Amino acid sequence: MTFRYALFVIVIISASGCSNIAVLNPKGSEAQSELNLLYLSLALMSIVLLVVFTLFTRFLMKYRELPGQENDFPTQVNGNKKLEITWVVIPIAILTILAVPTFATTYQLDNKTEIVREPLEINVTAQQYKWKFHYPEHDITLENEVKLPVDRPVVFTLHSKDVIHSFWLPQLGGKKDVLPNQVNKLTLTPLETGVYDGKCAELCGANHALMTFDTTVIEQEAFNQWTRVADIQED
Amino acid sequence: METMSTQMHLNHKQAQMNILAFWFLIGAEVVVFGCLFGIYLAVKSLTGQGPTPNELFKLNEIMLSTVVLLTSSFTCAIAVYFLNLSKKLLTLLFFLITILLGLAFIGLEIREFTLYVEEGAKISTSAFLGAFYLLLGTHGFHVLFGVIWISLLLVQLWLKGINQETAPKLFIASLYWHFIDVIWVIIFTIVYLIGKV
Amino acid sequence: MMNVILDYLLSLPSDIIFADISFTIMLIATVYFLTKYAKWKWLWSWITSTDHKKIGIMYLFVSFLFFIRAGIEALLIRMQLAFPNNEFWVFQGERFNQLTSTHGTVMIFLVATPLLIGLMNVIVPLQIGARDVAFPFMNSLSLWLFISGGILINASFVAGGSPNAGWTTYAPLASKEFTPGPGNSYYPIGLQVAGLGTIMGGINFIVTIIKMRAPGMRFMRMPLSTWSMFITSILIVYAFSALAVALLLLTFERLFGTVILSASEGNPLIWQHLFWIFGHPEVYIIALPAFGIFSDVISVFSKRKLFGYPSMVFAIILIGFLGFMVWVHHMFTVGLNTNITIFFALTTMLIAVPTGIKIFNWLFTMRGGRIRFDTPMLYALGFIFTFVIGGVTGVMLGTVPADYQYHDSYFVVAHLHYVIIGATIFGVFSGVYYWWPKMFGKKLNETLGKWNFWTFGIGFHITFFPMHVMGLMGMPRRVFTYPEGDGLGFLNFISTCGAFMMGIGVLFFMINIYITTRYTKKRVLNDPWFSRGRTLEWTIPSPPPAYNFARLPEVKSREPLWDAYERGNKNINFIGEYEDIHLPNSTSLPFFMGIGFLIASFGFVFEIWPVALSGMLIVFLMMSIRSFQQKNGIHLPKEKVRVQDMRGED
Repeated sequence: MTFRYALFVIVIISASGCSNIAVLNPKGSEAQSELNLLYLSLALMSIVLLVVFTLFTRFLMKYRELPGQENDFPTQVNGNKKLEITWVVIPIAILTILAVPTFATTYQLDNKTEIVREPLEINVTAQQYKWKFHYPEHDITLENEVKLPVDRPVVFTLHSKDVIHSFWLPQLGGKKDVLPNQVNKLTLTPLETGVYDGKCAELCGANHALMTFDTTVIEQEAFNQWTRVADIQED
Repeated sequence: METMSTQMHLNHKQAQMNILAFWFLIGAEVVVFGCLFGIYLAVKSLTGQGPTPNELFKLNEIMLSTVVLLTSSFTCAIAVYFLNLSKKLLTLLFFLITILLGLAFIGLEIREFTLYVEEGAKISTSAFLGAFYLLLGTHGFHVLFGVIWISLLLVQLWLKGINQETAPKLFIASLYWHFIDVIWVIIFTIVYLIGKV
Repeated sequence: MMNVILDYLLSLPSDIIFADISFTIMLIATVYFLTKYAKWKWLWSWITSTDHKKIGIMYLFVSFLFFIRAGIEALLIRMQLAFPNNEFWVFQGERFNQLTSTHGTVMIFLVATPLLIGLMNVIVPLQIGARDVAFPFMNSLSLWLFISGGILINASFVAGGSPNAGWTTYAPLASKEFTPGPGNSYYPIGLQVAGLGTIMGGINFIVTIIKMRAPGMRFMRMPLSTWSMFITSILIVYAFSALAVALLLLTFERLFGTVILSASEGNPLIWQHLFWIFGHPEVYIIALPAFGIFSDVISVFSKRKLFGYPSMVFAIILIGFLGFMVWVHHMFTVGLNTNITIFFALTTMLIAVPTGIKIFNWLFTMRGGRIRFDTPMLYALGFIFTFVIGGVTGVMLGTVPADYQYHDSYFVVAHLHYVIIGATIFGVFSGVYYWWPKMFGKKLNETLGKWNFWTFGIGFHITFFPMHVMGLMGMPRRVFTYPEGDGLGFLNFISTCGAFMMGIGVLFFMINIYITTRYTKKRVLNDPWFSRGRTLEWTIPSPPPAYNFARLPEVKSREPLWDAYERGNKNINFIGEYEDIHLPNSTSLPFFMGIGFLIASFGFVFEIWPVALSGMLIVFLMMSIRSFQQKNGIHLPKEKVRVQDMRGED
């Protein structure tokens, strides 16, 4: 039982730093729907954990060999049909509850690119250890940083110049691989202003760890202002 | 021992185990060739700067290789037939024809490859050619391995005659030979015939 | 001349000099002790042995050495990651990638898989009442191919550089264009050699189990360990052949310039598909035998029949089957069609059902029993606890949109260590403690065993539990550093402490082996586990004679020994007559074939074709010799067997 005690301590310690946990602190609608699934699956799985650990502890306490029982021959049973059916049916039920929203959300997230209206288009080019962001609408290019307006869907068109990278903005949404032989699209919708960390999540060489970028989400007005200024500067 | 028939040699426990093991090895080989076919089909259209399958293949010459290899499978079956009748010399003769045909096949394949390379279709030219040479090369290597293997067995057959040791080995080698023949038929269909369409 | 060599040595990085020196010291020490105690002949008798028990023990020993090596790498990784912006020794960037890549590769291919194959070798023939495996020569060859491939991958560190594209070695990073050194050539060539041995081993055990069971041992009477190892062998044959093709492809890519995996002209995703078509079944290859071991251990230490035996067997088969249909869940983020993604998410979730069946059957096996908490049982219980956590995070990873967040983050690192250490390593520890008396005739020290379990187990949870949280905080896999402000420092530091605790746990295990071997005098009985044994391996002496069973047993139920106990007997009745026993010759050919492959592989890695060719020639020569050899074997006359057997019973 020392086991679980240790585990408990760790959970407490890590819970104290909860505001740091990016995935649990979503600032975009995609990250939010992903988080909802995380909570749903965690809740369902907690039921499983609870049942298993309860039985586990109970059986271990109750059926341990006591002094004097060394020569016992406990009764031997082959199994129990009803019980065995129970633990086939209930997991299937739990998985169904999880599967339906999972599949719905997957379709929704994967097909968002086609549905969203007037998205901000950004072409992302990854190459060994840097990110380039190009705004075709305004013809602006940024390196290792990207500025986004709040509340407007952004479609990232991802392409790599060399090896496989993976584009990850934990607080705005999950990853999408950046492939050299195929263009992938990822839609993210920031809901709050702020600065968020972006990173490469696929091992891409020596400096994989340093291939990060800053994401600044600003008000729509400020964003329009910025594009105008930046556009003029570039010319 | 001398009076035992070949069938009895094959029914011996160790022989039975060898044959069973061999079937599982064939299973593994099916996966190997299945994956290689998968790779080939996945990159068939990626011809880049190199020739397309249609431009590259010359069906007439490949027909010849096919006939050679199919005939070898036939002579191999005859050899096993004589093996079952415990006729040492005839078994030897037909296995010999089989490996000669196998060698002829390898010769034809080498000629085909050198021709392609001379036309500029090298292994590094395009993804299609890479997968083509990988698939065909693996098959060709299997034929070569079969030729060497059966040759070694024939020496043993010559020295020891048909017995509990040699009979199962020859039987298994014949199964192997039929297997690489079947693979060739699939290669012929998927790579050459469909490539020509 | 000396100066040149000295200059070269001094130009090497300090970690390589360190590795070279420690390797040289170990080599000299080994040679010294072998000579001092005149053990060279003894060593040679092991090298050339075709006895499945000895081969199994050698598998265990060599994989344990690799385990130590990859474990040290894990400690180095944890040292580098202990603090934000840390610069530990030379392990940043490139060097760090080499560490993680070899740690993963060695642990999966040269530790987890062969450890279990080692146990398979020792146990399967004993459990089915056989005198040997179907192909003793091939068995020895499997061992030497594994060692040969293992040496190659382990030597890469000091000979030209290790693989550095992760244990998954994704193209195009693994192609020559981006990693030109020999490092990533070691990977496909070394694994090809080891993998070939593994396929042979798989076929060997399939045939052994199908053809060599004792009279009356029907399929549905086989112990669960044997069942799971049977299914694993089948998985090995099919999964490792897919790996063979993937490795061949990568070898061609690097050595002969094919462009199938290249970004511009080919399709790098082919590698990912092939690798995971192998890679996911591999997870079950290393998990299923552990499941089998736990089934036996839990049943024995609870004094209860395994609950729901048929459904346990069915669950293993179903897991093995589904294992081939889930590989795309490693690739949810590459941008495949949504329908494909959904299909594989469904199969991934489905696999939780047979796994759940197993967990509950284990729990209900304990119910109503008389549970003893000896070390093998502790590991089995630790497994249930750990594996359930790993299992539920597995289901969480199967929920696709959430996986977009977890994928390639430390959450995955936590999950995979929970299942692989939780199942395989705990399983091997459990199995080794359980069968140690059968292998060596002595029981491992219980006190040290408990210390070993608790330090390793608690250390494990301290190391890997925080990693779930680190993943959710946004720490990607395989990064060698992280910035100060991310708040990752504290958890990483805890994790590093836990890793050292695990290291201490392993030290306890080594001390235990030393003390037991050196100081324990007491020889154990046929069934050292307090007359709780149930299956055939406990009906014969510990250690068993070379032929295992002097007379063959006749099996009339699933648990012949337990049934005998219940009837008040001390052992089962051996009904067979004494007979002449045929044992295979020892042979040095597999050893030399291993050397041939080693030479050839170095030739291929460095693209020196004459060397490669001469290595292959050695292999071919050995094969030809083998083909012509008279296989007389050793005949033991039945009188001798009878006398030995009588003596053993006293």
